Amino acid sequence: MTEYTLAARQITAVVTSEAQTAITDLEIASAVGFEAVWTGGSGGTSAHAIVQTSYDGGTTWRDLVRFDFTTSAAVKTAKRSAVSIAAVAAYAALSAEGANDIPIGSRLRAVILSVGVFTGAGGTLTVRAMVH
Amino acid sequence: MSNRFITALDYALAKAGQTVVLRRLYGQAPNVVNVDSPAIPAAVRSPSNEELAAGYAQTDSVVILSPTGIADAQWPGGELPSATGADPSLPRRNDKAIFDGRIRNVELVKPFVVDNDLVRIELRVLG
Repeated sequence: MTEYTLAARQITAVVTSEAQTAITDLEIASAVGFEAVWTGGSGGTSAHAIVQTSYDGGTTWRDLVRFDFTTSAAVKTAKRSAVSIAAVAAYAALSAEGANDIPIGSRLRAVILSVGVFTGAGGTLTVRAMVH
Repeated sequence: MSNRFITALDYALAKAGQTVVLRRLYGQAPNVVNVDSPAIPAAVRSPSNEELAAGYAQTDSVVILSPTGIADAQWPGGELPSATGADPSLPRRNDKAIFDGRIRNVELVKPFVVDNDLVRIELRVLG
């Protein structure tokens, strides 16, 4: 198992779909777990992290899982277990707390966004991936 | 990472080095989070006479790293792409180096570049 940090981001001012640099050259994964940790913050409204993967070397990105937080501290997890063949389905970007049952490509990244201005130290949002 | 200087340093670190964990801190108190690397091959030594004369303290240590260990770990992971072109994988002042059971502060980072390849990183660490 290998652990990667996809994002570690202090949030104070509004963040508008800010893609973090990608983790690349992932080996074929039998399972991937994700953990998003939000320290909480006051003054703002919400913070969000969308984990994405790419099948074309980082040109286009597909949503895997989305974590949504309010002002309260929280830890959220998600996992994608062994590769299986799912029914054909149209791809769609994720809405709140969503997950897409799609393959993991060779790259992962996190996109961070927030609503409202968090005061003082703001909050810190961390997204990690555990690749098995 | 096929540069012969990197290959030689990787070999030397594997044969005679120890491991170091790099830590970068994100956020602001009380919401600071740590992003640690796995154990990375390194060499740790005391400052040389020349370095002491140049202002290093005897309590400082010099940590020698290869870019290979950091690249393999993809430390520190995802970051906002730098507007200044700074390489996020290069340790920075006030990162931490953890070895021999102690957390030490990175005071100075000296990257060595040969033929446009980063081949060696030296850290002056304190603590």
